[in-house]
Amino acid sequence: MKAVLLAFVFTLLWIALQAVLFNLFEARHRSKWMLYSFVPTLPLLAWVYRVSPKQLGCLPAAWSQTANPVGIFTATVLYIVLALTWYQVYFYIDRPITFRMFIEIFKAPGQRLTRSQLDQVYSLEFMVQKRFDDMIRNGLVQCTDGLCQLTPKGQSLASVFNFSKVLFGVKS
Amino acid sequence: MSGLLAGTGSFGLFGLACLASLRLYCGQNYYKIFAWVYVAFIPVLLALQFYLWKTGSAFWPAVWQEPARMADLLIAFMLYTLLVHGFWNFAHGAALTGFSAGILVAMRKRHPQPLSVAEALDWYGVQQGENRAVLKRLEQLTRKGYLINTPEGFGLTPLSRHLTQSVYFLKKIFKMGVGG
Repeated sequence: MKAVLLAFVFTLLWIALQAVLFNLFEARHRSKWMLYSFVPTLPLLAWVYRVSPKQLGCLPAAWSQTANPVGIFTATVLYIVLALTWYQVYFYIDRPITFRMFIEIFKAPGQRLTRSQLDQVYSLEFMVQKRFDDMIRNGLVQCTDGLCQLTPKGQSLASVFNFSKVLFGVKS
Repeated sequence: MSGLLAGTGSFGLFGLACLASLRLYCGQNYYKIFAWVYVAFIPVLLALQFYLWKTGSAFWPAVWQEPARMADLLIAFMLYTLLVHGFWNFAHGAALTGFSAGILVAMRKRHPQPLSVAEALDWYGVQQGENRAVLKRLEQLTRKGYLINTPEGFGLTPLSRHLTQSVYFLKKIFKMGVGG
């Protein structure tokens, strides 16, 4: 149980650290910032698990008697899975088209937007161009004179996505 | 230890069941399949955790075991749920509905012939003068009660207003861009 509590606490601290870092620095590659701020916390978690009291001052005695190596392993697995969950949640908030539409309506005078007004503030051209810009910035695609090709990195990722589509039985 | 194994094992079975179900399912509401399979495998998780917790000390040292069954069950359930969420998210972004993933796969198929942004725009209906991605969402969100369609235009419902305020707040805290 100590493993569960420590994994939660470390995840919350890591999320708070991101809020601080993203406000202090111009972090363009957010995924890399998340990864680089996460990795050093793994040995820290193991160390804290080892040196902290067995019951963390709040757990019942019967809930805190797991051997240290197993406890550290459990805490690490849960911490990694919780961090990956936050990573996904972060992009749920950052990326979705739906939230962008909601925010544009929310900011509009009288909080109303017709379809054509929505097209003006959030056009299809912007939507597609933004994705190409992101893919270029992440080294997945390179464009010359308006024509785009996959880079080797983009090829690999496209193969993974293609395999996923085959696996899920989705027509691509 | 049994919690970790039960959580991971149940997730493995969940994954296989989802892949099998999606091959039989013809609709578009993939998330319903995931949700039903997730619920269906909770009894499997409980049974697996119970079995491993009872018999685990035959396979590994007793000190490796969580002494309290509830704590072990919590670990199993938490791990199962978080892994299912990750699987769901990956399936959603990489295979089922991902926008950028769709463009990458299309570019891979026509390699080495390049793709222009204009062609990509065509796929989403720019030549017909409509933004299919937005249009589809407007219809769905209105049908599901997140938007109301009035003569002055589309507006937020109380639920979507609260949701938007929360998202707006989080975007500020993490200094995110406009998104979309």
